[in-house]
Amino acid sequence: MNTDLLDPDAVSKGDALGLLARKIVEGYRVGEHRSPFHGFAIEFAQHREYTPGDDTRHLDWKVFGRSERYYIRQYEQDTNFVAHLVVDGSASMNYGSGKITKLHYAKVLAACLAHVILTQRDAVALALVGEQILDYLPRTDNLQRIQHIMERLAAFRGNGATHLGNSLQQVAREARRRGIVMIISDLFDDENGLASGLEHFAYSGNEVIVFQTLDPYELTFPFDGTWEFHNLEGADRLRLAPDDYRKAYLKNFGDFQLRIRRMCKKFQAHYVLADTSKSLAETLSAYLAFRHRARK
Amino acid sequence: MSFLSPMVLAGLAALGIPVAIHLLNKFRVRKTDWGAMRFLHEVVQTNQRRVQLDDLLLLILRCLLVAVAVCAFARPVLKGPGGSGSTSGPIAAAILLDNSASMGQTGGALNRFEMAKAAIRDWLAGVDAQSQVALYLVSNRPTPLVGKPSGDFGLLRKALDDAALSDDGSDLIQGVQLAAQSLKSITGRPKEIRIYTDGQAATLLHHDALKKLALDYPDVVIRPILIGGKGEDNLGIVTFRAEDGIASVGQPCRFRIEVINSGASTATELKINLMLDGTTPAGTATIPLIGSGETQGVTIPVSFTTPGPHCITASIPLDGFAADNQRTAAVEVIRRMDVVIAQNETGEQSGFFISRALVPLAPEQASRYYLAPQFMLPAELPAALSIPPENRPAVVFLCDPGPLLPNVTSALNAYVNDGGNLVIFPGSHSDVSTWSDDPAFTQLLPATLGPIIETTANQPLTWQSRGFSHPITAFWNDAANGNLATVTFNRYFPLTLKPGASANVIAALSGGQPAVVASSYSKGTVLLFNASCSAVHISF
Repeated sequence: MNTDLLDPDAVSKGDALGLLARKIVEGYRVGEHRSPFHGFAIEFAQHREYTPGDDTRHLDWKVFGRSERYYIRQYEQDTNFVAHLVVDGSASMNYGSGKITKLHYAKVLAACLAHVILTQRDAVALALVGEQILDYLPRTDNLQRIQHIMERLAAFRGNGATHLGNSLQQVAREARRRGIVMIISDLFDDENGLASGLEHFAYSGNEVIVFQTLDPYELTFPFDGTWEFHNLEGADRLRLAPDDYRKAYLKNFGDFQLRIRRMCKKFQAHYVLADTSKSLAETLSAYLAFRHRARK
Repeated sequence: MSFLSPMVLAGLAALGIPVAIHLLNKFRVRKTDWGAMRFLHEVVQTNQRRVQLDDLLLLILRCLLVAVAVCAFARPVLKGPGGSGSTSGPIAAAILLDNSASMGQTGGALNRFEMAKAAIRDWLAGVDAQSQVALYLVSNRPTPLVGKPSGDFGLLRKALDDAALSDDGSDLIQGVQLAAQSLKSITGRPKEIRIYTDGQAATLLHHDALKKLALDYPDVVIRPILIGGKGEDNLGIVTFRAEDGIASVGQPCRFRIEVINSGASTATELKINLMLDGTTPAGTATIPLIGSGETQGVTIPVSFTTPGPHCITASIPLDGFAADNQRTAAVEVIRRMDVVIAQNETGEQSGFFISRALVPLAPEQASRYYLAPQFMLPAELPAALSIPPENRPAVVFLCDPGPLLPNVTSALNAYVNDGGNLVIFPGSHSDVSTWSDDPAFTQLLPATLGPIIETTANQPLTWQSRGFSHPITAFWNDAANGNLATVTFNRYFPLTLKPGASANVIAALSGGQPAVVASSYSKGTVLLFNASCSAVHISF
């Protein structure tokens, strides 16, 4: 992915975000004919008495054999599934060592996923969360609504602390029907709260996918000299020589990632590391390829 | 502990560098927003104390590194409890006291030799009473005063009191080797060699020899103790010699004087005086500038008015070390020196060229010249050489002599045997094959002569152009003095050095064969050329 496409100014406009999502996704879907997501079949709804002009192909001949009356079979074409996109907008998501913040990356990732899902006539619900749900778009399977989703994503500004556990439980209440929950967050939150949220989804029969969105500087801590770090989620500051603490930080951060992975495994959630230095198409391809393998 | 170069300790100011770097790193702060703050907080809480300790240790280590480097350059010397010793506990030591002439230099009440003695006494007073110490005087040769390490300090002090300054040069390395050997048999205690010197000793430059000693005796510490500063001015005459071979009445004789400046400052307008027989001024010259450590020289011509032995003295103004401010040379001045040129009357007459070379003056001036060549036939030599030694010619030139009769060769043998000098130029009329049949003459020759060889125009043969090692021909190593390779040989006798003979090749041919060979025979000297100096044999 060309990171120019992720220009924050461009992303702030819904049209641009939609265009971007389409470009990334269609680039990926060239040659694809089968949905990477596994859904449900078309369901029978009811019978209706035949009236002239109805298509005779839909006559239920078995009913005619039993009752010698003409009935038409009616079907309800339902969506395959509902994907609940949960985008974390906490202040920590505003960090970016380069031009792209984690929130920008998360928005584009969510837009891409929404585009993929709506294109294959599944439904999308979008929850933009902070300490609680800040914005919620109920589920829709109308591809025409993609523009609306993009605009809501583009207008979303992250700030404040996160209570991802609370937010996930609220999303669970909104999502009454089972589906796929996609959480896009750095997960710098109370790990117990996150665990309870994941547990809730797991026990209610949802499939959960966690996109942990991290900046390369958070992964490698490559600072040298003396730095003053300002907390994005608070007013505290810390002045230190990163060289002295790099080893301990990387161990601490590695342990955190390991705990998250174990938690995902425990609640049968799929974990994907979304490194903002990597191409978004690369992240998306790796994930969708995983889904293909899962289908087989 | 003291330092041999205490001025270098000013470099300790460099300790500020690591401190400044440390503080600069602390105060040059960059800022950034950060999301993963909780991980940093956890890490800082856990590691802050360790990191601060590491920082402090690193700063201390950097400062220590600078301090150690500065101290090493200041050349530290350990002293014992007495203030002048080297270690605590009994040791085995060998003291080398430099008594070369330069130790007589004085900048005040005591000369360096006395200062060195005082330093040794101080060290002996402070060293452990169970120690064993040897004492050597060293100049250009070592003299053991207490040859084996001894615990008798009274004996050592007595030997030290009796030690006297010499007028010799310095070469301490032999003394160091001797001292190391004297310590070899002692075990179970620290061993060291203490060299008390003024640092002008050449041994301090013998790095390779010192390294080898350190390898051969790894348990022996070699500790030079420099006495006196290097900053004292000292000019010394290092060379004083006559440039011309023979001093004669009425002929200017050139004397070469070279002066070294071993002080720290540059010397300017140094006046050099020559005094004849201690009373008569014989000449002066001025060296405009001598840099520290440099040697500069001048040449002063001196004319002698009377024959006989004379002494001539070169002097420069007195400084702290007077011993090298004056040099005296004895010169034998002659009025006249008789030489004989013996040649066959039918020969190539090459003696003419010899006579012109010996007396390079116009004929009317030749009578006043100290060299007086006399021509005669070889057959006349026995009579000419049988007179009393004081009247005999100083040199006999035998130029293409033709057949030599036995009485002639016997006379020549006796002449050389009694201190005469013979120069032989074989020529076309010389039947050199018969020379080997005459034992009296063959004994004189430093080389055997082969049959004459004629050269061709395609393969010209000359004298060597450079690389002369003999003092007679070394003059032509300087291109400004001409090139002997302009002498081309038309024909020559190949010379083969006699095996076992102590012959010196004075000059060689361009092909490397000997051209002029010299050797001593009893009290005299014989020079043998490979050709005559006539146009038949050579051309210029």
